[in-house]
Amino acid sequence: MKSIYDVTVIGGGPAGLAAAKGASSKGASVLIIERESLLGGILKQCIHDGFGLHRYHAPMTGPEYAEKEYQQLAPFSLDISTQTYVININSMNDSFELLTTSRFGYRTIHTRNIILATGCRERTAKQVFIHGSRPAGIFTAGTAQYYINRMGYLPTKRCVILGSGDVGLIMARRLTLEGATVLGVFEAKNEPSGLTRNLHQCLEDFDIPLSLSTTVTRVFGEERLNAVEIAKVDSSMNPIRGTEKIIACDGLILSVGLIPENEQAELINVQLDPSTHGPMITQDFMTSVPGVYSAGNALQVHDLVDYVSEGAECAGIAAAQTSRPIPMLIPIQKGSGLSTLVPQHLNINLPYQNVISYFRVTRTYQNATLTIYVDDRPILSKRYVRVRPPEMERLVVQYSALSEASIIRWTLEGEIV
Amino acid sequence: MNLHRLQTKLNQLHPSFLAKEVDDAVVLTGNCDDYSLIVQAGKLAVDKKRYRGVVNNIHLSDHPLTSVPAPTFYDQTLEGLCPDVIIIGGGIIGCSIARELSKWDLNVYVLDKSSDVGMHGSSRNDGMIHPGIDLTPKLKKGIYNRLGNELYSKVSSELQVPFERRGSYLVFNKSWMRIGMMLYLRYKSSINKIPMVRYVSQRELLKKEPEVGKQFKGAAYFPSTGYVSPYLMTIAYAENAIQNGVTFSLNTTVLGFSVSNHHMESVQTNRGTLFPKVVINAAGVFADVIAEMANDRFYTIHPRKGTIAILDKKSAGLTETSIGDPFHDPQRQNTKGGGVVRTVDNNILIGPDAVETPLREDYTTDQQQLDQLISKFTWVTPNLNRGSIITYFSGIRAATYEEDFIVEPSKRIENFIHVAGIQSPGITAAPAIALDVEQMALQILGSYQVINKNSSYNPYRKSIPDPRKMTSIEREQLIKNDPEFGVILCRCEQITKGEIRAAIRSPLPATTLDAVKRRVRAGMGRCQGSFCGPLVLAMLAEEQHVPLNRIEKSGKGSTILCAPTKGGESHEIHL
Amino acid sequence: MNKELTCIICPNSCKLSIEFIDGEWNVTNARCPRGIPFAVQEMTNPLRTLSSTVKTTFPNFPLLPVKTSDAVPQSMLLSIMKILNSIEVSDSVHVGDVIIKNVMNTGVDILATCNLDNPYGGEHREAEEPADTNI
Repeated sequence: MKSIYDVTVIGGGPAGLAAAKGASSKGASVLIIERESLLGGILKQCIHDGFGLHRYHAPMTGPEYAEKEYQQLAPFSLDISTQTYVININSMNDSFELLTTSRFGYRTIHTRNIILATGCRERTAKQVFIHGSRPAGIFTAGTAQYYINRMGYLPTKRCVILGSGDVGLIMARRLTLEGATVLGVFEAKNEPSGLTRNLHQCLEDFDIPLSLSTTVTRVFGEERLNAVEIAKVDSSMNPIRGTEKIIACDGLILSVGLIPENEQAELINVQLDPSTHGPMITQDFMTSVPGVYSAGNALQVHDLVDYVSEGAECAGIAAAQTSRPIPMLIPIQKGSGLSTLVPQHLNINLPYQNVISYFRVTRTYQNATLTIYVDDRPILSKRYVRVRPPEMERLVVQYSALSEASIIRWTLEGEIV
Repeated sequence: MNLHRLQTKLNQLHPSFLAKEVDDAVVLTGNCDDYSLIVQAGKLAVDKKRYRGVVNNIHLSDHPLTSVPAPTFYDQTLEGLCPDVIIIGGGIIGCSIARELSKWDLNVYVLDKSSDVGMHGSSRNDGMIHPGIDLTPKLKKGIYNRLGNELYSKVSSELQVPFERRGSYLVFNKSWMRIGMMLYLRYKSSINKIPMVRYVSQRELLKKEPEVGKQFKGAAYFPSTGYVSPYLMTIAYAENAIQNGVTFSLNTTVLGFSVSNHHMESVQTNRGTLFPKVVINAAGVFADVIAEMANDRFYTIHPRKGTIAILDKKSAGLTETSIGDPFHDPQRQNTKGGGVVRTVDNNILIGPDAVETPLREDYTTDQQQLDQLISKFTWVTPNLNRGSIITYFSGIRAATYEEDFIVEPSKRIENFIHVAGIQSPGITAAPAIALDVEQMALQILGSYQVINKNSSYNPYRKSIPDPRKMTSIEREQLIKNDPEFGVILCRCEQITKGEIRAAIRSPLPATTLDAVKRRVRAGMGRCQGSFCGPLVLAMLAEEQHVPLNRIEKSGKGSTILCAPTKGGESHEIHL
Repeated sequence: MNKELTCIICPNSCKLSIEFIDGEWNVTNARCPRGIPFAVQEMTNPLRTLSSTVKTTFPNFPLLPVKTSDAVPQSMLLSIMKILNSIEVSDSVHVGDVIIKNVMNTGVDILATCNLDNPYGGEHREAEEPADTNI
């Protein structure tokens, strides 16, 4: 262990690995802190393919992608500490003190910069106000996936899945392949959340019905789940009285959303964006606290790990810079049609000619036009045949000639589907 | 009122209702499909001067007769045993009585039908150690509350259970309420012999409790209110009892008694028949059913459900203590009103409410109840954010119609003691009730035999080490001796592998996921066990030497995993 | 009898329409030619890649994630699952190693998708240090 590191990456999943590579490639001394015993994060249990199409031009499974990202670190000598957890962070003058715990006890680690790559957690049954009894048999999709893919156990024999996002769809297929019966997938919104490819290959292939505008309201069963109550919902996603139906099952799998983990970020007063639940960043992935960077699902929930790695690598490169100009921030305003937009600010004292940006739309649009205005002058206009909330879009923007007073605004307009 | 008048009033409620005097109790019979009428009838029949209690046998149509849930298995592990004392019920009452009795050289057994102690009333409340301002010394509740409250500092310290005496506020929003309320509260403080209530002005209130609604003109402050984890207290009592020689038999359901000549001869359970010298009925919501089995029922439990919601620790700033508004009771429920409470674990707890229900162990929640709870307490602390709720649950209070505790030896069976109707403030009262029941049991036993002190009695129980609360030197030593205390498993609550292992290996071992949760809080955080659940499950399987799919969430039948995916042999996991 | 399906060849996700007319498949709405053989394949003999796990004899790493080297007929997925569930890997394997060659005569192999030895680099224990790191 070094007495001080240039960059400490908290989290050894895909974001942490790419960030470590980025920082190491610029000569920084790097430490990765990971709370599990193995690196790779959530990829270890994502045994399906669809990863790496952009970054490696090949369809890889999660484990392959993780192995590949780990191999990228081979040329560098960095320190890695597993089964280690950051309990506290203290900001000092020009550095940070991380208090960590591991089997070797409590340690203080000094670092000049921090990259928060802490991933996200799943929304729970209580957070979507499912009521009834408290039986065994209710799982979030990620936990079910862990049981099946890392421990080798089926958590259910006949189940219902709430949530038509990709995680839920992937689990529908996985459960069926391993011998469980998936009675149906229910989605509270009026359109499915996942990729169309997954709707075909996870549901249609196995004749698993999908019900839209439907949610699970209650569960039954004293010790083990034996039924759920589903109900139709209105446009505000509130259950409609009288539409309730009971479905006998022994498992309820919840795929109702992911929440970025920013408990460590909040320890040092990193400002969060309420629309992403992640830190506000500038184009170099730095948060409101100088020297603290954010990447991956902790920054915002991503759909493609390729984008996670790309952003994280940039964050790593930025964190390795030995000197930082004084920040001069201008906000990037989110106009109509956009629910999230990252980065939220531009630091005009840093280069801004190629700003990798990500956005999500508020609803599905077709024949949409995204326009970026600087001082009410459009600098970019891009057409989208179809753009949906579950698919985060990436755009590289060329800004130029910005000043402190520049006003940047993004808007999206199109036909609502 | 006299029987005749009671009968008239009952007939106004429902034509089938009949009242009879049987021994010293009033017995109601009849049949009705509206439970609220049955409860009203029970309340009407209360007359403490005339009757020892109300036995409400009015039947709720289309509802099965109340009985203890049937056991899921039978064996002979307890067959033929002759303990000195059997305590029926492993809630805080049963466990605290057991601990006090363990001071003596006695063979004591605690029987509980569940897979762990404290799974019912004792773990489903707000953990407040009440000042007792709403009570009177005429009620057993009042006396036991005061004594219990005073004892908490000592007992919690002996048992190494975190306890914080931070006081509490009752707020009022109309200036005119101040004088009347304070006079009334001063009077109550005095008759209950509890630390005097203090008036707090609006200015001071807002300084001490900045998140409280600005509409409140002032508050009454109760310095003696404390906060504890009620399930941890129950477990700690049980562990200390075990350390001092008490035996706990879980998954044990009492099925019947043999009583002859006013003497309880034997206790039949699903695990055999025992022949105790003394039996203590501390069976919570089923205490009246147990009493009925012994033909000694002079009271009825009418269950009252309370719902509680827990908020993320980020909301901890909502209060430093707890704040309640006794005047704001939109649903007109029979409750102290609950409050916005800062627990010892720094979560915010709101509730409980109170709803009569015919079901004894119905812990289901519903959205309407939860919405009412949220709206009621948003009135108290307006920044209460529904989005910060991480979980919600319900509990059932074991209330008698007299709304008071029953702590007394049976009048019909010489070796039977009733400790029933322990609703709120049961957690507060437990240490004091336990001491009284100890004396009652000794009194009865003393007539059969000489009772010696337990020479190795140790009132001190060691809690599971908590690395977060240690000095750096203590912690370094702890982790050096056992590196598992350095590895965090439950990331939301920062609970280490060492603590979980200790919970599984404790004197009353945790055998289920929920039992581990109650002992060390793994799974009580933001992610509600999504991350740590599988890891805790694997540790349980490892310690019990069973395949992963045998591990249960709470009770028998609540296994979490179904079968290995490859259809082959189950294997152990090392993580 | 017209069937709609979404092409998965590239992110454009064209909504293809396919119909069997006059003895041949007719595909419309494709913005590039690659969608046409895809649509025909989907109707005649849909192919899918399969990812799953197989048991290992290593107690610290009980499951090895695997995948098919290429797509296989959708109709064979469950039978291939049966075969995967019946084997156990006891050698140390690396990413890309063939676990089963030519599974069920499909010409497709089953490949390991992670290293059994030191997966993802294995465990990295913090080096034990004398007390020069202050706490």
